[in-house]
Amino acid sequence: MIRRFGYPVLATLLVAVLATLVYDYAWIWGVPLWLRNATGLLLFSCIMLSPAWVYGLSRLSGATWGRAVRLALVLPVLWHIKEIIAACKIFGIGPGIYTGLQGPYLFYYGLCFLAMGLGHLLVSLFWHERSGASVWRTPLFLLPLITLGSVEGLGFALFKYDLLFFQGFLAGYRALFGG
Amino acid sequence: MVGIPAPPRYFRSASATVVKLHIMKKTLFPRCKQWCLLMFLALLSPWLAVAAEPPNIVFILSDDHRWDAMGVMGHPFIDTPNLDRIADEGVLFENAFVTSSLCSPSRASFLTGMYPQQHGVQNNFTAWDNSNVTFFEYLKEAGYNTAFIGKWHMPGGIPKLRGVDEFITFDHMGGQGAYYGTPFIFNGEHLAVGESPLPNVELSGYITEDLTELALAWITQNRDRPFALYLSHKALHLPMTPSADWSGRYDNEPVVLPPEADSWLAFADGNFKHFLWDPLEAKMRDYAETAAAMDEQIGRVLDQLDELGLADNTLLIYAGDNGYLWGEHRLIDKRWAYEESIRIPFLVRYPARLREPGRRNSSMVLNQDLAPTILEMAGLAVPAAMQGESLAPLIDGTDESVREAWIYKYFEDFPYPVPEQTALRTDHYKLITYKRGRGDELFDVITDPREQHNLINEPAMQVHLETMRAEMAAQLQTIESGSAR
Repeated sequence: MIRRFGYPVLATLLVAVLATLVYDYAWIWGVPLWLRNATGLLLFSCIMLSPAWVYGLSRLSGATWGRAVRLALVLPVLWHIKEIIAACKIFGIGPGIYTGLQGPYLFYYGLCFLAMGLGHLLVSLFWHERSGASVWRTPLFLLPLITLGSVEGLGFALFKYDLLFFQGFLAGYRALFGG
Repeated sequence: MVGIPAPPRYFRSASATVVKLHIMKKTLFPRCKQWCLLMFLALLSPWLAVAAEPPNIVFILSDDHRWDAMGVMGHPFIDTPNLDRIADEGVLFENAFVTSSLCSPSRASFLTGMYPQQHGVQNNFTAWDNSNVTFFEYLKEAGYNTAFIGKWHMPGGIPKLRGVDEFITFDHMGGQGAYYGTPFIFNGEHLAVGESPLPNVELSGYITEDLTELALAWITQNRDRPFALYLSHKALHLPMTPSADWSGRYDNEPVVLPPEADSWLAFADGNFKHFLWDPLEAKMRDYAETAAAMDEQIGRVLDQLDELGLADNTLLIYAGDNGYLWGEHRLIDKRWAYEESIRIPFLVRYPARLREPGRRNSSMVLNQDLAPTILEMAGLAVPAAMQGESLAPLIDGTDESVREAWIYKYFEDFPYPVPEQTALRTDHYKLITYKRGRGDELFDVITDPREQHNLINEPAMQVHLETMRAEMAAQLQTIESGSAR
């Protein structure tokens, strides 16, 4: 039995899967470019922004904030796993899994939390308008992005060393896999 | 590592002609006709003098310029009047390829005449081994003044490149350089941003213009001796920034995507790792403007050669370091063995030697053919270790083709999401094998130039497939053993 706060994430997953099918394969059947572009926009919006609405709608449906965070991470984690599987097919299992630690993916999670923060803010404001509930301000949703940005920024500023995207990431790859 | 060859034989063709005429004079002609012969030789003397002079060499290399992004190849809107002019006055090689479609391996092949398996630069992270011998060494030994100006972009730092008098390059942005604000390195010395490596050269700050300015100054300085210039542009590589003059000129040009592509492809399936953050059409317009801006600068080199009276005896070659996929096969970037990725522009002009300017040659030529071609055209012996073929017979028009099949190899370049692959390309077919992640592919490149119909499981193709697999194995063995060609 799916509880009602699970509906937003299920609906988003369904939209994302359908959009993927259209976006990746519809060109074969001559589906016009504008429609494929529209589904592409929908798909990438689901991947990049869905944590905002999944979190918000889950909260409005009764989920605790911790549960809403977990629900909001379902699609990002699935997308990340899909990326890792694709990398495993190219580089083998070990390096493929390691690929999942590359900076763009880490920053992607940072953006997901940022989106959740936006969802959280909108829900809090909505509740505040409806019932006068106090707005819960928290820096927690910004923390992952700030941490990652600080690590990368400081490494670059102090040592001209990019830790997460290529240099440090590749050093780790060579240490682990001898590439 | 190979030794330096014997001294040049500049005067071979001219002296052979003189010797033949001398024998004829002694045996066939009556003495009274000697005056006629001398007059004949006198009439020929300007031609003999030109033929006897070693040619100047100007090689211009661009980055990521695919073969069809030129007016002369029928591009619908990219203006390349100067590249078109080189083709009109020279030979356009319509089927030119790289043996590894990635900056560093391809650049090393241009310089050494070898496959990546031999020169060792297999991807953008494997270092250049400075025991590699480049064509510069042979030219220097033969008395040339030499310069490398522009993008080096091979891992392992900037080497002390033997045979090069002036080495002007950069290591900014990991060797990629930037379109604006790239500090130069001059013979190993790091200069400040905006500081010119050569005296009396004003830098504008836009890298394609600056490299051209330096090249023009260097040509002027070296006009009195045979010279060899390697002008290596950053353009058209990402972020594909045109000069201010060219920016926005193609904003209203209609861009037609391949049927399988869409505007957001740069974000799909790992393509985002190439950091191309725009709708595809917008970036394709940037690419076109950057190409046109570069062409304008190439025009300045042509004009300078004309003004200095050097054009006739200058072997000028233009090439790209690899192609570029703009959505074909739903892919962005290069690396793959598909045509759009491996085909490059390759233009040769040499008025003093070329008999039929404006010729098109459709045989398969490779990036590693550059070094042996330059050496042979300069009258030098081609070292046995060079695996490329001299294109001199094709340029002269005495032969139509130098090979029937060749090997393409892309080495894994972690973390770029492209599987290691090997291909055998013939005039008619291409067999692509993947280390992992994809099934092998066989395409008929004549009837299916966009490589959309994989024939690998076609029963009628099985015998031919086996022949191609055997040929691939044999060629790989030859290449990896270091045997020439």
